[in-house]
Amino acid sequence: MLVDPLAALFRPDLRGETPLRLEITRVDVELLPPLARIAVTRTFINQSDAIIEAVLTLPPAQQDEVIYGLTVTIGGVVYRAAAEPRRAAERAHDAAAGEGRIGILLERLANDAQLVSILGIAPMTTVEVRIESVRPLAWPGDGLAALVIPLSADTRRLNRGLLDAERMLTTADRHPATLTVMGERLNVTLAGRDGLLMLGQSTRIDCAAPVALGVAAGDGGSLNRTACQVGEPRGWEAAIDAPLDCMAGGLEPVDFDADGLAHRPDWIAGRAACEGIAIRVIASSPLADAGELTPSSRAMAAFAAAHLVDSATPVTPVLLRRAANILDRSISLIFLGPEGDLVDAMPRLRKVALPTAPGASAAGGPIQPMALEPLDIEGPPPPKLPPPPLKIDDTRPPGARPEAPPPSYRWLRLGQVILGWAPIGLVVVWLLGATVWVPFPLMAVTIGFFVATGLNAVLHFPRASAPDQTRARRRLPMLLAFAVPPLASWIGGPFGLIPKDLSALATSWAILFQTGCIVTSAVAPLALMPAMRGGRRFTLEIGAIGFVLTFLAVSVATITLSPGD
Amino acid sequence: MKFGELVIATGVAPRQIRYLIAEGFVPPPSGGRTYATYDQSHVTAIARYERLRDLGFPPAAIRLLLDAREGIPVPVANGVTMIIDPDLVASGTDPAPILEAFNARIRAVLSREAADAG
Repeated sequence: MLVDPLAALFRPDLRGETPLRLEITRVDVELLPPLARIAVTRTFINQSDAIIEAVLTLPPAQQDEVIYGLTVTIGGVVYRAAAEPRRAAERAHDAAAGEGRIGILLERLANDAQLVSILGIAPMTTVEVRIESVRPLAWPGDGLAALVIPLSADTRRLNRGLLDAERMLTTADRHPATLTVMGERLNVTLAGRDGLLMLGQSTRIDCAAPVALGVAAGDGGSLNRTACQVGEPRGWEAAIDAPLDCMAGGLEPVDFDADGLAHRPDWIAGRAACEGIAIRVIASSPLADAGELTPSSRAMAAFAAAHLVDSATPVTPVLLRRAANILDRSISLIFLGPEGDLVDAMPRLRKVALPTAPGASAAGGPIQPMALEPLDIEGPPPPKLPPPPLKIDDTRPPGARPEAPPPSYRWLRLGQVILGWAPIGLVVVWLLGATVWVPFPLMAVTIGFFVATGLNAVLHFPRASAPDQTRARRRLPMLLAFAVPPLASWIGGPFGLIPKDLSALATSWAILFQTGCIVTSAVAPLALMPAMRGGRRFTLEIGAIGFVLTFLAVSVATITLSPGD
Repeated sequence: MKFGELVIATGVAPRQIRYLIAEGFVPPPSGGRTYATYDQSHVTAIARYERLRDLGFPPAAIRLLLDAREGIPVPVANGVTMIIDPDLVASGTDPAPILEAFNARIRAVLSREAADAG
């Protein structure tokens, strides 16, 4: 029988798991010339009968756009993501997927596309994904400003170099979408519509086409400056500073006396060079204890932090960007719920499809004959894509196919294994030396045990910024409890408060007390395990040191108290 | 093996593995979420998928090829396409005996003269 090897590729049912579709898209814009605050909220429903992990790939951030907020509402419960180092966030999110936790993650991919992953969505649950950003208006000329917000992207270009799990999916289906523009004394037009937009009112838009706004100053309005109580705490100002070609020496610190900021300890200032103009922003520092910021204050703080030039109090730009929740290639936005929220089932990864951008091909469209194009047997072999970045701050161009496994350093791992078992081995040696009276150097073995256990504790200190390790670090003072049994044994022993010449009854009670001390020191590390998730190994090592100290104190006390010959 | 060990063994990102499991390219783990366990069949399935992606097959085509078990077509030269059993892809099978057999068959097929019977 002749078999056409390509026959399988022309069958109609080539599509895999159907992606989830968006139900509603809502675009909210607050015009704060020369900046604009943008919030895009996309809503979908888990139509499947399983708990899922929804993955949504979004268009790249625009030029000079600062993304500073991810809020996800799952079944009416609101989760807000906070900035974490990207690798740590990714690891924590992956771990949460296996632990059945609710989690949300926004990260910037190698090609600047944004990826949202939401863990733990129950069947038939509605999910709202809201991403907030701030960016400068464009200046096409003639006293006009413009703002273009893409709601989808050309998947042919965007998906190049992305993993299959990260690729953007699109669908020809359309869903309701609305636009609401806020602003004061501005005239705003929307491409494809006649007349001015009614500010503050919701307008229906095409869910796939980019939102293109034209902005002009209205009666008494300005495109050059917007301010809100700039001299007061939490106040802010955004203004066009000067044409760049007029600025001698580039971006210099700003003279803030003119703004009445001298008495404000919370201000930060940023200055960005955008399309030939310099935009200056003064805002409240996200590190300052100024109470809850308004949405526009948060946006200005994020923009100023992203382009920091000066601050009322010394602060590092990295710390400020973290506090302002700014997404970049090295920082992701993440929230993880508590462990064990979900049933014992792996969440099923489902992609969420965006509407196909006009003029772009749909990834889910009819399958074209592929004819194995990459195998050009006449020409040279296809070039290898560059390996993925190994560092979070690596800015190599996109092209990351599967990640390279980390280097193994076998000798180092072997050393860690030996170090991990060393305390147990030393305890065995110690017991042999102490009980069988084999002539071992007991003091050296004891010191060796403490050194090995201490090194293990240092090795397993919860130093990462993953949520569970952060929580474990906050709870480290609880480990002081391990010092209580050895101290109690010593103080309550014959070398502490108890006299050596006790009556027989008092001696038996004293020995019982010493036994209680050692039992407590053995149980304490185990009792703290549930509270020290993320630092359990560290807790165990410190607990072992406490136990051995107690054992030594109790042994000395018991031997001293026991009636001799 | 645990999920983390599977990630190290394959060198594939965790999210990509979750995607492959969800799409059915890789079998789900045994033992549910809490005691999820993976074995060599998962490593092989992931390696096979990644190799086929490197060869230029889109995910949908890989799905169909694996489901239909009609063999993976791989062009070799003008007018010659190999059909390979999906189980052999990225399996680490020694190619030497296959090449030997292929060499003999292709010589027999392309020769102007008929091959000797036996």
